[in-house]
Amino acid sequence: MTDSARSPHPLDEVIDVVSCPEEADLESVDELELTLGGTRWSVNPGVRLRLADPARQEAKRRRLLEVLSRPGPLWDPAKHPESEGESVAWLSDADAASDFAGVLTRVRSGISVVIQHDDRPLAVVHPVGPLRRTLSECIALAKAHEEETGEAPILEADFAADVEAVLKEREAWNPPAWE
Amino acid sequence: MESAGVGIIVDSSVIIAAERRGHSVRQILEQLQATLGEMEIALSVITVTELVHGVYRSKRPEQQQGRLAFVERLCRDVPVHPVALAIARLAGRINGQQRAKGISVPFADLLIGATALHLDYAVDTLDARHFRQIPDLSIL
Repeated sequence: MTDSARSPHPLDEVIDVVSCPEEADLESVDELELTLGGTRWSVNPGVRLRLADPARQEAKRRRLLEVLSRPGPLWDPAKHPESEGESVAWLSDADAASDFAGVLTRVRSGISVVIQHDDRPLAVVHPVGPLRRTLSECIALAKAHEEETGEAPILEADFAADVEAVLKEREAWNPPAWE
Repeated sequence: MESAGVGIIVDSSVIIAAERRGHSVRQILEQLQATLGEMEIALSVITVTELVHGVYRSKRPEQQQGRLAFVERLCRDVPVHPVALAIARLAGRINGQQRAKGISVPFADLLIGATALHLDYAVDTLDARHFRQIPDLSIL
């Protein structure tokens, strides 16, 4: 892109134009040029080659637009329940800046704080070194969490059998030899 | 029982042994304290991987949620140690040296054992067979 570092147009409009070039343009010019809203855009030869497969580009364009059109953050912790838990906290940059003492309080308790800007991860503040906690401290924490949530999850029947099956799959590691 | 350090890495086998007693995380910890006395305790991320794998062996969503709630509570209450660079180096050295002697250590046991050695902890497990192949590792 030669005329502007940033497009003044919506991304989908830009993608729509560059992903549907005329075949004649691809064959007849060394450097593809596109005009969008009165602005001339040039596309380098490497990109031009990738643009030569309209079906592939159309599929990629649709996929990208689908991702970009989703409401909320691109990474949604709610869709990844296994990643939830108090070991990681997500905060906006504004919230982190207004209460950095609170961020440090969380870090001291062993929580890594992910600071986001516009729903995208920007920085992580995490404890230095391994966290050490005694059994008494863990028990006190467990009790506090039970009181806080009113719940004390227990191991349900059959879970042990399923985990035992996982443990039986532990295999020796045979890395490739150097020679 | 071999000599223990100042703390323990708890293996998955110890956690799931509590199923038959229907214990909560707090009750499991209290049981460990009654048995072992006061000491530091931790999990390896490898154990968390195995437990979460066990969660998704169930095909029933409500059962998955119940299991996941237990695992997440466990991870909130007990420190979980990642396989950091120093632990990876240690595990690689142990595996290489043991392989030269014709001894193969399962990868999960290797990483859990290396984590315990790195922290100067012992491993609390109900299946010590493979952990015994890791030199200098204390096993409960």
